[in-house]
Amino acid sequence: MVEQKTSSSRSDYVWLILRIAIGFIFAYAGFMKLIEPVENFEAAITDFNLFSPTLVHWIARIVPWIELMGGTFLLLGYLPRISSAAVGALAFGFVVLLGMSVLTGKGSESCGCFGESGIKLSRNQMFILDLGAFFIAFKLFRKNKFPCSLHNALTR
Amino acid sequence: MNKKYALTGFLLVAVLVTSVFAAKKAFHKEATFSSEGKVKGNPSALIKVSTWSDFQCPSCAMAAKTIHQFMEAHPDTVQVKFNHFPLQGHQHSRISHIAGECAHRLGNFWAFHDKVYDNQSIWSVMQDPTETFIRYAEEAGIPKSDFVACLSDTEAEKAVLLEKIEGTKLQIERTPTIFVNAERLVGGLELEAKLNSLLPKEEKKEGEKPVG
Repeated sequence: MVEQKTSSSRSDYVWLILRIAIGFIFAYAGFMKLIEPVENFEAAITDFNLFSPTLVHWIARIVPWIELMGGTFLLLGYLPRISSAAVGALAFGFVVLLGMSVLTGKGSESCGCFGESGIKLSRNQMFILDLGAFFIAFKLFRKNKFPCSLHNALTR
Repeated sequence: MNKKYALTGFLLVAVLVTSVFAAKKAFHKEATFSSEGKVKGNPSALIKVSTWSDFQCPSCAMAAKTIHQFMEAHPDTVQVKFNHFPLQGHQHSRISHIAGECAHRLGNFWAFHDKVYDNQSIWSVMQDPTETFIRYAEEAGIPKSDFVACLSDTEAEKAVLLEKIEGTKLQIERTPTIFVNAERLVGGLELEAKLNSLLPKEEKKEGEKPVG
């Protein structure tokens, strides 16, 4: 019984670390894009050759804010299920986009995912990172317990 | 959801939005057009174009062609400035920009610039394009011995690097990044439409007349 409880709390802490990690990654990615001129991210999306100019315009202006808000909320554990759903949806979108880009060869080798001046990861590295983030966010969405979170502190 | 929960959310959003705008303001630097450096065209032109380009980037070659054609059609309306922005991912960017800087110092940058972009697909696949750049410089009327001496001079490379740092301060990361009267365009796709939209009415009408 005690052993089961210890293993369950150990697993909770693993999920806490994963929650903080993907929250941080998305918040950082959104922040880096937002402090740069929006035209840089627009050009990165245009490189994929998949969206109309109007869509590129709106994606470049909306996605970074969702990344920043969703990532920060997840990191702090505020509205954890909604924020994990938002981060999961974004990660899924990026997986599809990068997957199509790998298959079709469209888009530049550097995806501009962390803004142009942030960390430089290749398209394939980002694909793996987003795939991992999607599964983590999906698992978090199905959880009921969120240790060390604002949600716990505010609903106690 | 209780009041405390909603208030915390509101505060979080406020902090995030404020930090983004504060950071954006701290990093922002206004692009200004200075007539010093690699400049051509009418100094009192209505349209000022400042381009940050890499000699080995294909989109930059296309943008250079668009600017060239636009200048030929509207010679008095536009002034252009070229700024070095060699990208690390391109094998021959460094040497091509040093060569470009030497061409500028020896008095015929634009002829060299045109040759480098026109023949980009040829020299960019070479093992070492230095001899080709020397030939382009000679064809542009630059004395070979002076050009060769300049290529090994660290001052030219320093000038290229300083210009790239200046571009980085303007948050330039992709090429070509083009400022048309201080409005930023990245990638050059909208360049032609932007330039045409800035033409004075009379010139627009002239352009609509059938050729011949």
